[in-house]
This record gives sequence, structure tokens and C-alpha cells, in this order.
Amino acid sequence: MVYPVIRCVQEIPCDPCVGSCPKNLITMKDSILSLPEYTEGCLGCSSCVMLCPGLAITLVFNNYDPNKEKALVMMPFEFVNETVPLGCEVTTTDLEGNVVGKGKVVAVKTKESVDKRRLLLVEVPEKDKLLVAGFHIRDIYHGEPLTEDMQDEEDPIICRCERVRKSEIVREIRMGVRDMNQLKAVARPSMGGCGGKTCTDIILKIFKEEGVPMEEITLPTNRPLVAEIHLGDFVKKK
Amino acid sequence: MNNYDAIIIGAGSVGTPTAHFLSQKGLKVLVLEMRAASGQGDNKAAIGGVRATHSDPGKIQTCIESLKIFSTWEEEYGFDMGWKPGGYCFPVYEEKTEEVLKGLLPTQKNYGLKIDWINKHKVAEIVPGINTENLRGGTYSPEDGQVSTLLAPIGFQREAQKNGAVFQFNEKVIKYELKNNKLTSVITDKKKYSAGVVILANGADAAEHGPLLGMDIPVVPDTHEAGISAPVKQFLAPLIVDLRSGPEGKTTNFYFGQNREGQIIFCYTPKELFIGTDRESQSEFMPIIANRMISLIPRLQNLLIRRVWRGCYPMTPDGVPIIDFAPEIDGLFLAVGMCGQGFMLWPGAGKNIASLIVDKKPIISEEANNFFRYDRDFYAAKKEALK
Ligand SMILES: Cc1cc2nc3c(=O)[nH]c(=O)nc-3n(C[C@H](O)[C@H](O)[C@H](O)COP(=O)(O)OP(=O)(O)OC[C@H]3O[C@@H](n4cnc5c(N)ncnc54)[C@H](O)[C@@H]3O)c2cc1C
Ligand code: SF4
Ligand code: SF4
Repeated sequence: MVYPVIRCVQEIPCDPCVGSCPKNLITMKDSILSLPEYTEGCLGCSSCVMLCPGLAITLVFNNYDPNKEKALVMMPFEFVNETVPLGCEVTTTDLEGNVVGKGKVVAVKTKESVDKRRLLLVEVPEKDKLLVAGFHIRDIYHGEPLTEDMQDEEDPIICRCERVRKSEIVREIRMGVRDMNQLKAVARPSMGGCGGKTCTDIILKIFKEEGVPMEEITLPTNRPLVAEIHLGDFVKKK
Repeated sequence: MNNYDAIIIGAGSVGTPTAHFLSQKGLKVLVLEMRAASGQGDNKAAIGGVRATHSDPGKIQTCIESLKIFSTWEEEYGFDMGWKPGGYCFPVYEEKTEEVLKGLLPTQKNYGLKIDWINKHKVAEIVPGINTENLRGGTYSPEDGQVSTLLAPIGFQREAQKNGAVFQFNEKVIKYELKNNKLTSVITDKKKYSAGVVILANGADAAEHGPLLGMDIPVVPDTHEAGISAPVKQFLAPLIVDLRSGPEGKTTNFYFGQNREGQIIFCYTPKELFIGTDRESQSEFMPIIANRMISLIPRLQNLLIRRVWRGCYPMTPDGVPIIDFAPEIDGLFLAVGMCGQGFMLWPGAGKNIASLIVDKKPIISEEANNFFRYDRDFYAAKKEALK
């Protein structure tokens, strides 16, 4: 037995699911703003999963495991092909993103007319089948809170890429530095990935605070906005 | 007011250490620099490798001096120049390179360089992740190292200023006055100055001053490209030089290392030189060097590349700098044509010329010093084995 689990919770003007079902099993009561409702009889064709722009529908396959310990859940997936975790164990989540448990990606389905979306078949414990709405594509990294000294209001960090504090810039200005290229060389503001997109203006303000007239300052090399890419990306893949 | 003991033209790799050593000897020094600060010319294009691993005595001795100065600078003067010890390693994959490098060892050792041939396993140990297929071993000179080219000129400048040296920025030397073959004054776009000795240290622009002085200064710049990655955890202590020609037919060798910030900084020598001073980056650089680096150390493919740039090697016909009094002009000292090694040769050379100018004798051997003379035959067939 197969059926869709429709997690459509907002009354928005949307109804591709209605038209997608060859058996007209998905309907809306009043208007395009109503929430979809499903009536029994699903063929398991997966049209609705493929078409729902909100990625709101999963299909649950009940007859997957004769022992009834596992079930199969079909989920839409829109990341690049290389990231499909085929054959991998993944951490499954519910609608809110809370962890449900573990699942295993056992198959991938594509449809030529649908450009980027893939449908992943994930094997999950029977008890999870109605809850599972998604999974993590990598381990969650929460980062670390800023340490207290990094939040120092008295001596703030001016260049975040290189973590250069105001006091270091003031010190160099007082040593006589007027060329912002030399300021970069000696204290490293603007030497990070962004190339000075944020700190340049702040540094100019610090020069002003220090009473240095604009005519004395040499502006830094103006760089386009760039993204750092891997060395390996410059090499033709065999 | 505008009279000095010494005027240095150019505050680059050469000019700033020279200012330091001359002012340390008590000379009243003026440095004239057309750019807005020290070290902003081709100095900052250099990747900062400092090696005494050369094939000729002049360079070996001078760079041993440089290494002493760089490695003790912070201790001595309290300014961090980004010194990172770790040596130089030339991994070798070809028999003929092995022969050449092994052949150099006796001379190198004779002039005081700590260097040896190491086997393939030792190379793999100091260059983690290196491709060991066909690797024969290599040379390793543990006392070489690297320095930040961004910091060094600032360190030299500040120390020179403490000794009274004056730095004038945004001021370009445009003319000279000579009387009876004596250089009497230096004229900038702002002022006129005079000095007992004028040291020409203007890097890639040296040849342009030939006609102004009425002499030939055989310096022709060609350009080299370099790049730097985002920082990664320290894993590579030595600088690496791979002397093989690249399979793409565009490179003769390439070199790279990890600086103190953890960034990998890299460069190659093009097979066909790009003569001139056009410093625009070219699109072929990254694909070529990426191939070379990844085939040498595959794990480097994961580096994130941050920036690329291009700068000049101020070349002489024989690839050896000119560090000498101008023979026909009294009061002019030439410190030009630094080729690809201007950063590492000075401070050693700066200390040497301070001694030449003030004490009338070199600190390196006479023989080694002769190597840099202006009156040598620039077109003699002899070629340096290690450029
Ligand atoms: C990619 C690359 C990598 C390199 N790697 C290394 C390395 O690892 N180790 C090494 O030792 N070397 C290296 N080099 C070589 C090194 O950069 C040069 O040899 C060295 O910087 C030359 O020093 P310089 O003082 O002659 O020139 P510069 O440092 O360019 O100084 C000359 C100064 O003179 C000024 N000037 C010019 N004309 C006038 C004028 N008319 N009036 C006033 N001022 C003037 C200029 O503005 C400039 O600041 C590298 C070079 C490149 C391009
Ligand atoms: S899977 Fe097919 S049959 Fe089942 S509800 Fe969706 S569209 Fe209708
Ligand atoms: S297509 Fe998806 S989002 Fe739109 S109404 Fe149907 S279930 Fe909701």
C-alpha cells in the first residue's frame, strides 16, 4: 500500500498537486487557497512528489518489508547530483527539522522533463515513516560562540577576515603609516578572502578620527568581489 | 638642508636594508621613493624565499649573511618580519638533475652552506604527501627559510628612521646633475638634493636611468606570476623547488612554500619570458601551476586560492645583480638588476655595501664580491647552474 503524506500547512495560492494526480485523489475544497486533501487510492506514481514546489509531499511505501520492520519513504531532493548520498546512512528529520532517527538512501529516481529535482527512496524504521520529511545532507555544525574578548566594545575587531583590532590599526597610523597598502602589509586588515570589502571604509573613519587628512592617505588596491576556489578546480578532471 | 651623506633611490627590497645599514654606520641617509610607502614595488611581488642554496660563491656568501640578519632581526630589534625557518628542499625525479645538484654540493659546503643530499624517504618525511613515484631523493638545506616581503621593508625602514634616515615618499627622481664625471645632485619632481654617494636601487626601472646618467645600465625586466591560498594548518616546513620542466611546455621550474600565516604561496618560471613591465595577471597561470602543484603533492588540490599577482624580475644579461660603484661616474653606486633574488640577497648585500662605502672593504670575500662587478663580461658563456 502506498500513500502520500502531504505536509502542506499554509493557505497559499498553489495547486500543482491537484492537477498532478492521474486519479484526481488530491483535491481542494473551496479555492486555490485551500489546503489539499487526499482521498484513498494512490497508485504510487510519484507525480505529486515530483511537482509540489514546496517539497511538501512524501510518499510512504508500506509493503517494502514483509517483516514490517522497515518502510520506504520517497522524498524530493534538489541539491546537485554529486551530493546525492546514494547508499549512505543519513539522519532523518521531521517537518520542523528535529532529528527523527536514521535512514538509508536505497535508490534515486529522476524524470527527464523535470530539470533538477530527484526523488530519493529512503529506508526508515516502520515507526518513523509518517514523521520523516527530510534528512541532513551533512553533519550539523553549530559553530562556536564568539569568545568574550572578541566582543570587546572598547577595542572592536575591524577586519573580521584577519581579526584585526582597532588598536592595531591606530598604532600603525600613529607610527606614520599613510598608505593603506602598507597598512595591510603590516597589520593585515583587508588581507582576508573578501579583500577589504567591509573594513576599508571603517579604516578610513579611523584615519579621520586620528586627524589624518584625506589627501595624505593612499587608498588600497581596489579588488573585485571574488570567491576563493579550490586549486583542484583549475585542473581538468579526467 | 638638502645635503646628505647618502641618497638611496628606491625604497624596495634593496633600498630599505641599505638605508638601515648605512644609517647604522652613522651616515645621514635620504631615501627617495616614488610610491607611497616602502616595499610597494616589485618587492611585495616576491614570495619571500631566502636561501643560500646557490651555485656561485657571491650569492652563497651574501645570502648566508642575509639569513643571519633575517633570522635574528626580531630578537635584535623587536620587529617581527615573519621569519619562518624550515629550509629549502629540491626534490629530484630526474637523473641529470641529481647529477647537477650533487655536483654543486662541494662548492656550496665549501662556502659555508649547510646542505646535503637526502634520500627519498627523508624527502617524503619533510614534504608530507609528496608524490614518491620516481622520486630519487633531493637536496635539503635546513638553515634557509622565508620572510614576509610585506613586513621586511617596514622593519628596515623603521630601524633606519631611528638612526635618523629620512624617507620621502611620492617623490620621483627624474634627473641628475653631473660635473666632471661627478654626480653632484639628484633632482626629483619636487626638489633637488645632493649627497656624497647616490645609490641607484630603483629595481625594474633601472635601465631608464641609464640615459639620464649617460651610461648603460643593462637591466631588462621580465615578469613572473605568483599566487597565494587561504591559510591552512602548518604542514610544510621547507620551501620546495621543483626544477623539472612542466609537461605543458610553459614552465621551466616552479617553487612554493607555506608562510607563517599558513598560506601556501607559489610561483613558476615561464619557459618563454614575458619581457616588459606589464603586471596584469594572466588566465593561464592558475591552470598551469595547479597542475604542477597537484601532481607533486596531490592533497594540495583542496587549497582555496585567494589571490594572484604578477611582478618583475629586473634581469641582467647573465642573471647576476650589479652591486658596484659605477666606473665612470664618481659618487654613484649601482645596486640594480636583482633578477629573481633581490629580496634574499639584501640585507646581506646591504650590509656588504655599507662596508664597501664606509670602510672601503667588503664583508664577503673579495672573490665573491667581484662576482657582482659592473665591469664583468655580461655575455660570457658561463651560466649559473642554479638560478
Ligand atoms: C613572482 C615573484 C616572486 C619572487 N620571489 C622571490 C623570492 O622568493 N626571493 C627573492 O629574493 N626574490 C624574489 N623575487 C624577486 C624580487 O622581487 C626582486 O628581485 C626584488 O624585489 C628587486 O628589488 P629592488 O629593490 O631592485 O626593486 P623594488 O623592490 O621594486 O624597489 C625599487 C623601488 O624603486 C622605486 N623607484 C623606481 N624608480 C624610481 C624613481 N625614479 N624615483 C624614486 N623611486 C623609484 C620603485 O617604486 C620601487 O619601490 C620574486 C619576484 C617575483 C615577480
Ligand atoms: S502518487 Fe500519484 S496517485 Fe498517488 S497521490 Fe500522488 S499523484 Fe496521486
Ligand atoms: S502543490 Fe504542494 S504546496 Fe502546493 S498546494 Fe499542493 S501540497 Fe501544497
